[in-house]
Amino acid sequence: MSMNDNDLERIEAQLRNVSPARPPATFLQRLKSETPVLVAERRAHTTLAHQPAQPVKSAAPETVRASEAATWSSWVSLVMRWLIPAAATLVVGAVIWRVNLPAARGPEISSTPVKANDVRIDQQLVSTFDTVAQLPSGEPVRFRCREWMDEVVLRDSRRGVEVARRVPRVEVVPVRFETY
Amino acid sequence: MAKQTDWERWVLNHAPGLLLFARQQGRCEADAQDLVQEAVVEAWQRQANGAPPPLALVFATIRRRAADWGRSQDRRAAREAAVHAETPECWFDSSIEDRDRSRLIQEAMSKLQEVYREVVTLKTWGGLTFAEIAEALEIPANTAASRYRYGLEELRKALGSKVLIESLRG
Repeated sequence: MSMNDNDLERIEAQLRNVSPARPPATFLQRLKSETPVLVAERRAHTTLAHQPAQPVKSAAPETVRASEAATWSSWVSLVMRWLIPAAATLVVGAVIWRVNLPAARGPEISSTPVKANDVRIDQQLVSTFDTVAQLPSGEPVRFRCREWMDEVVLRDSRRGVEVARRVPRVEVVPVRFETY
Repeated sequence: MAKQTDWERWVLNHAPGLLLFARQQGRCEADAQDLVQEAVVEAWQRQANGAPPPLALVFATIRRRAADWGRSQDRRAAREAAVHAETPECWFDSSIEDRDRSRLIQEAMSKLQEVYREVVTLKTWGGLTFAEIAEALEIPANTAASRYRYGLEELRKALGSKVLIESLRG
């Protein structure tokens, strides 16, 4: 069965007649002594700071110590609130920079092909000589031997890169005695 | 000095309701006091003009911090140990003439589901409007009103005629 408005008001009145339990005195004192410090601290950081200072109410030594501790802890928390994210951002940025820097430069060099604007191909005769051998049938055969040095040089003057490759090569040509 | 007087007045007026709400979050007494203090300081720091923080904001901060603490295993273990070690806190004024009525209402409130209990507490002893309750609990105002009404119905069922008879005698 749902309540009508009279029932609602009656139960409301009953509940309001009961007060919440009074907080312990130590808790009330703790609550009173801490928060005004924060207000004073905030005022010092705002434009209201230039206003003439109001007389400070003398407090019990315990309250003063609690206020000083609260001031110190709130100051530390204020600094840490900005210092920690800033430091974390710097560290993350440094790590990203260190990781990406070599990776960015390394592939740039290796992946970009050399665009040679000067190509030089050279063949250099190192030595030449003849030698004589004998076939199983007893027929003599003369071989003409030549040692060559093949060289290819690619030069990319824009990037200042020069690639040189030198390969030795031996050329052996049989020559019949009649031809010789 | 004037501000400190305002602050002291604010504490005296609202600390009982704030502490009641914190106690109902299932905390031991020490946790409830810490909750209130941290919530007040946090809400105060959010204020730009240095005025005492809005009550709805303090209640909302208590509720959020209680949920955060509830996720902590260490705090949970400590709380359970404290619950076993301590006698149950009195939520309401237990002066001689109101002791029985306070006990009955605390029993009924403790059996009420949390969603209804917190709305009834904020409205009756926190002095918040439904709009402020909606802001504190992050629910629509209509939901707050319907939860309040349902909570009162449940309380009336739980209390029966005990409190009403006491009231008529008084």
